[in-house]
Amino acid sequence: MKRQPVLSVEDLSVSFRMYDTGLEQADLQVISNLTLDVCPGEIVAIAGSSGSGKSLLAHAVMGLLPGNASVTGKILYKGMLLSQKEKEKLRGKEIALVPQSVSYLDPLMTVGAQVTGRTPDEKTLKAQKEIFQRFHLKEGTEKLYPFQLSGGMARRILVSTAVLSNAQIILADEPTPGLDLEMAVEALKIFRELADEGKSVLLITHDIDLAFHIADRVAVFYAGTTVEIADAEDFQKGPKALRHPYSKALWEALPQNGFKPIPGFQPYAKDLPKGCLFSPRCPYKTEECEKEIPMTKVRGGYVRCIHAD
Amino acid sequence: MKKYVLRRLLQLIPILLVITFLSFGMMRLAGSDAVLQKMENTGMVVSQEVIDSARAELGLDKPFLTQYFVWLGNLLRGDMGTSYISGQDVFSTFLSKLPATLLLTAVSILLTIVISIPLGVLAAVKQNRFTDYMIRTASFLGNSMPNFFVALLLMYFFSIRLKIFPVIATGISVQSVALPAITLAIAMSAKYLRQVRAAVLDELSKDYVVGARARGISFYTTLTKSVLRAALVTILTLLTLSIGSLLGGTAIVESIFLWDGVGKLAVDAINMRDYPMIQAYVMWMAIIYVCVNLITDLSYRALDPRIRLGGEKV
Ligand SMILES: Nc1ncnc2c1ncn2[C@@H]1O[C@H](COP(=O)(O)OP(=O)(O)O)[C@@H](O)[C@H]1O
Ligand code: SF4
Ligand SMILES: [Mg+2]
Repeated sequence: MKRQPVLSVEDLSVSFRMYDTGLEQADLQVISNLTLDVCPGEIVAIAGSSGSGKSLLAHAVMGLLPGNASVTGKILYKGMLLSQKEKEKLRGKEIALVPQSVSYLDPLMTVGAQVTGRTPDEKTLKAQKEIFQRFHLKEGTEKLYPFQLSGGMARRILVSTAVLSNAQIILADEPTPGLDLEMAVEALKIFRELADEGKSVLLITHDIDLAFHIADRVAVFYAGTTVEIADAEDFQKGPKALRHPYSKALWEALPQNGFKPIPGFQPYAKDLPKGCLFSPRCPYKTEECEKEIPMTKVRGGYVRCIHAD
Repeated sequence: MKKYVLRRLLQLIPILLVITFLSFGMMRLAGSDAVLQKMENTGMVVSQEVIDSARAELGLDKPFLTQYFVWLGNLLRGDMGTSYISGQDVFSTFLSKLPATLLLTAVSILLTIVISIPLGVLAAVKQNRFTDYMIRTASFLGNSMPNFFVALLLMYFFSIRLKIFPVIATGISVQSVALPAITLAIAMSAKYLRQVRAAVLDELSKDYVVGARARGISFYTTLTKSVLRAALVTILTLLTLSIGSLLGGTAIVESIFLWDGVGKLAVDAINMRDYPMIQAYVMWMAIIYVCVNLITDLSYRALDPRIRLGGEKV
């Protein structure tokens, strides 16, 4: 029997209404037909270059997109379809976010109040002390304001906040930059412990190497969609085990695998190619590739490429 | 903290010296003097001897520097001199005009705060919706009407039609301060409202607002506990400037409503080249600006931990 996912994203598209010069308006499609699910006890990594829509996915799930964004598709939490109202009810409680930047901390509030809430109970305070200790945050740090923290400390505060929320799923948007190795490993260790308790983590990162090693499954993002979702093992094995030309190219672009650059650029949302979003850079492209490409199951993983086998 | 306040107040001494010297110099450069102005006003033609003796009596025949130091010496002995025009003691004349100015400042600033902050915040929260457009239209109207026009409109409706408030101020009272205060508050609110809206919108667009939403904090809590506090720093700066200029008097509104404050006193003193009176006014302005700025700085500290705690990092 298949476990019920904590979080399922089905066919999600996000576009922004932009006003160009004058009154002309254009819809900028930044996420296209994205599909992904996360099961209890699982760490799913999202790997993709900058601008591929990773943060937007997290914000869409949390109901944090700005007013000019329109969203189609479904987001389900434990099988329940989430409306904006429900997202607002769940966020910070059932679904927690580790934001991408330390600028998401409130400059006028002590970090303690942000991590535990303004009126924490004994239990929360105890948990806060514990996690601060694990993160080498000295006693008294909770009384400081964000501007008094170093970037690394602020980052650890962001992770602590999400962990203390006791959420069923944590969306961690690039939680490790700015942390030294020891602290980064500690953060990932905490995520693994949470997963072992039956919770889930969606780990967003542009460091694919990291994604391969810590996650159970990896979703590769390209130009606002998932091009491949597969077990992390496949990514450790290499191109033979992988399915999508972009995933293979990413693997080969890693320093230890030859540092081979991928020619071309990720398309900008303003002029997306027809059909397969990777087609302008793909060496295996055929005419067929200009049609709509569905997500298909190949060798136990999912891939958005008609020539995958 | 006490030391900081004391240091700031001590700065007042050099500021006063420089500014009184400058105004002394500028009034001389402006030409004419109290004696000539008095003659002109009465329309009499007088011989040069009479003029000279009148000047000598006021000390206006002495060299500029001597005049300044005589004035300064008297000031240090606690004597601000007598008015060249009325012959009355400058200090007590000035003091007698202050209550009217203080009351008008307090009431009009209070009205401005009560009108512009809630409306500005509301417009920002309802950005680009009907409420926002209504508030912005009202602000535009308020901005485009000159003070004297608003004053006449108010007089027409409230004094002549509804007979609620007197046309002409009869002493300093709640009733007579109402119309001049409303006149000033309309103009200031129209201006502030837009600045409050802009400051709040600017804060609302910051990442930390999204961060608070992500933590499950209600929008209302973030708005009142963080956004407004941060926006208040900007708003306070503007309010301070207004308080400063209101305390300096508002000659036009004071004239229309015959409100006996320092604004009219200052304009008259300048027109008549009543040097001692002008000096008193200039000193008053300098004291206001130093104090008002000090109070603003102190409130910044209370509002913003980044200023209060300085750059302490750990
Ligand atoms: N508010 C917005 N309005 C318009 N475009 C946006 C907005 N936010 C993000 N984008 C665009 O969406 C794309 C994906 O952004 P993002 O999710 O932040 O990427 P990343 O994968 O680096 O986290 C980028 O091209 C970005 O320019
Ligand atoms: S669908 Fe075609 S263009 Fe796209 S990745 Fe597969 S082979 Fe390349
Ligand atoms: Mg991002």
